[in-house]
Amino acid sequence: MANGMSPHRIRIVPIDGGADVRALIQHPMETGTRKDPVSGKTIPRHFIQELSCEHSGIEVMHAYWSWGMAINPFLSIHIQRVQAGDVIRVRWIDNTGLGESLEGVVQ
Amino acid sequence: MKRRTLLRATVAGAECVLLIGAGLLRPQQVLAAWPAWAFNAESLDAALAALTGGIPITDSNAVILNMPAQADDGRTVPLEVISHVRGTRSIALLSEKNPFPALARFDLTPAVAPKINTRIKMGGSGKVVVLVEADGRYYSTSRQVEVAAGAC
Repeated sequence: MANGMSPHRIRIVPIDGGADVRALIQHPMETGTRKDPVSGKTIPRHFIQELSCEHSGIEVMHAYWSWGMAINPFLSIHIQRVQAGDVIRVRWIDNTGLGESLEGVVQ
Repeated sequence: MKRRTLLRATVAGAECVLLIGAGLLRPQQVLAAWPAWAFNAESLDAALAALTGGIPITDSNAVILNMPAQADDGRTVPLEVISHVRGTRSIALLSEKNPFPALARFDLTPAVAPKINTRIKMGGSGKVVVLVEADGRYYSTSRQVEVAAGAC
């Protein structure tokens, strides 16, 4: 799992033979137009560019994002069919090349 | 196994070349999957045109956008999209009054329901547009949302 120390959260909620995958990610999602209130300098654009969801190692969703998605993004999708023990992973990469992932197991 | 993968990649590559030759695939789509031309568009119409490649869009009540008509804080506006369009392959989100209206495109496989809950930024009161792609056709719905304090 290795999610214990992570600031991010994933929840897998079994529903009707499928599962909702809910991810809450800590990310500033800077638009690149905001100014630092103290220094007055423009804060560089910094946002999650791609995010995908894998079910048992197979990609089931792939998203492309702009800086217009909200700070600390939340995403919920529904996988149609799952079985107990299936591993679900959400991974993302931002425009600085930093990538992270979250993993959950269907109960 | 490796050989098969390589072979498949080669075939896919050849198909891409053919599609470019036929003008069916934009070079940008081949070079980078992230749709920069849509995300950098500075008007709603330009962003929609970039996402559809100029293919006409049909207004459809099979695309459902659930969100409050008023948002207190434009920095984080929750919404839910449900597509009842058969064969939905992608769902894109746009906000009319953002400096860059295209916000996201979710490419879906049949393994997931055509349904998304997420949160967007809104630059001001205006239309939120959902664009659905199914079988090469485009469907959309929109909703006017009043924002008390805009982001962006």
